[in-house]
Amino acid sequence: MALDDLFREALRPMANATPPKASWQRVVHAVARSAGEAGTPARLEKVWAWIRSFQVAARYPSDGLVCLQPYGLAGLSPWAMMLAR
Amino acid sequence: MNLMRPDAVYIDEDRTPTRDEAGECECILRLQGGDLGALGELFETYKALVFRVALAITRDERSAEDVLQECFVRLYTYAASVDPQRPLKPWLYRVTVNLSYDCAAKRPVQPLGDMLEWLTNLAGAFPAPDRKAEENETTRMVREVVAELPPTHRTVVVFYYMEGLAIGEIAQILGVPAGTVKSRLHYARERLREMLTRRQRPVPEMAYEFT
Repeated sequence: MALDDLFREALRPMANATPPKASWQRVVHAVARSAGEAGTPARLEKVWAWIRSFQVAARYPSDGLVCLQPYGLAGLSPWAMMLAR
Repeated sequence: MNLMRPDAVYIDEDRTPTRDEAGECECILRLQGGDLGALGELFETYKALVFRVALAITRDERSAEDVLQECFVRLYTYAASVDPQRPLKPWLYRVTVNLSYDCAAKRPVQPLGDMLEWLTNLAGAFPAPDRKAEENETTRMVREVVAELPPTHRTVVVFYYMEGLAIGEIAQILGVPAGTVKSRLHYARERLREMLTRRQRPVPEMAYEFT
């Protein structure tokens, strides 16, 4: 086998590596955090609406609930959420 | 860190965009317009690519997860600077590489033995049709060579052999001359050849694909 083929063969399993399921939740949290730190109310409202949309979105239903847990599920405003952190 | 899109990577201005590219363009435009759901769609499309490249460079699953997260936070943060007319992949590759270098520099490297064991398990989980059931010793040796390369060299090997990118594409993504990419590949092959010779195995053919 040629050296090139040896490299390809050795790296093949790595090409199939997939991230853990919770990785999307981490991105959602990080975006929410970064928006909170960046701080314009309009931007934060957008992020908050986005997070809330996960509750009804079929695509990421469990992610939405998990994301909302740290901030409370009682319909707090984004600014209240950030102040409560 | 240069977050701008590398110039002229994969770009042919005259050709008609494919359906996927048109969809991606529309997705980026939506993200730029504040539609954060578009970020989720791009994440679904590219999460595996970012993760596997980060994993191959950092050799550490946790670091790869950090890189994946930070890469998409940056896409969200810098969406306005992304040109929707160009493919997103080179931008993601570049940001992933830079973040992976940062991560690799900060974190203690995962012991080589652990990484090789993890790779072996992964290989068992995704067997290729023609793959032998048992881990081949030569394959293990190649992984050892790749794992011991400096990150800049390992990146080139990963892009060339795992991602299947051309020398010119790798050079543009990394912002280095094509000659540098070739010499890093040459170095990796020589390392492997030395190791094979040391263990008195037959040395594979001398010809390289791009020479």
